[in-house]
Amino acid sequence: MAKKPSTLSFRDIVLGADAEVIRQAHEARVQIDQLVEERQRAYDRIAELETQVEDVLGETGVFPFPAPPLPVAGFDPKADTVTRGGAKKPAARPADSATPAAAEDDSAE
Amino acid sequence: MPEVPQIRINALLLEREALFVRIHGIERAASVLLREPYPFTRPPLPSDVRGKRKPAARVARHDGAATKASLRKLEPEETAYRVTYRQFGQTRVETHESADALRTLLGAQSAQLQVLTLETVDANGAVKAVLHGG
Repeated sequence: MAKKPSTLSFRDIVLGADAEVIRQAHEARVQIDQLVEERQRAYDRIAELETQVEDVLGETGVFPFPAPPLPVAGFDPKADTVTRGGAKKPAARPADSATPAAAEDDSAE
Repeated sequence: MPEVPQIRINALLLEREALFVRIHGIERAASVLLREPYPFTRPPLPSDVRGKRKPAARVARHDGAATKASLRKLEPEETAYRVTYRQFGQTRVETHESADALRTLLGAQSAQLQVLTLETVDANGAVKAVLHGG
């Protein structure tokens, strides 16, 4: 179970951290935010593609969409096809298999 | 499945797969930046929705069996069968002298393929008997 993220105040950051760490953390945060936005756009496009597949078939909820070819968060890495009904319990497992200890999630989705 | 929709679906699936590869790369890059696994959550997708097969499809299969049974031999004054069917939203009319192709068509009925009418016609194309629909 991941620890609950704690919110750091501006004062905490300015006075409590090394200036070099703050600079590196800011750069990392900016880049991560860009990656998260790109990832969201990719998922939006995937949703469009899956809808188009079902439109071509004329039926929804029956096509066995293949699982991602490489590990991504929220998919069973051992499954051959997408496990339907899985969206109701979204997994927070990142691409590499370790469980996150603690991290800010406010920029994630 | 007809070739064109199959090609279309394959193209869509290939693009989807490429996007998942990119997402894999993004997630790894974010974890490298964070120096530990980033707690990604996955947005819902249409493929998460568990579908129920349309009752219409089952009715169509049932109806198809009944129609198949109604396919009889041509009488002396009849020269061909005329079938009207709907496939992927398009209505088509075909005339067949042999019942073999019709048996295949009737057996392949599904949500995307429904036989609407099946008639026998004479040499002038006039309807002699309605075997199904109409």
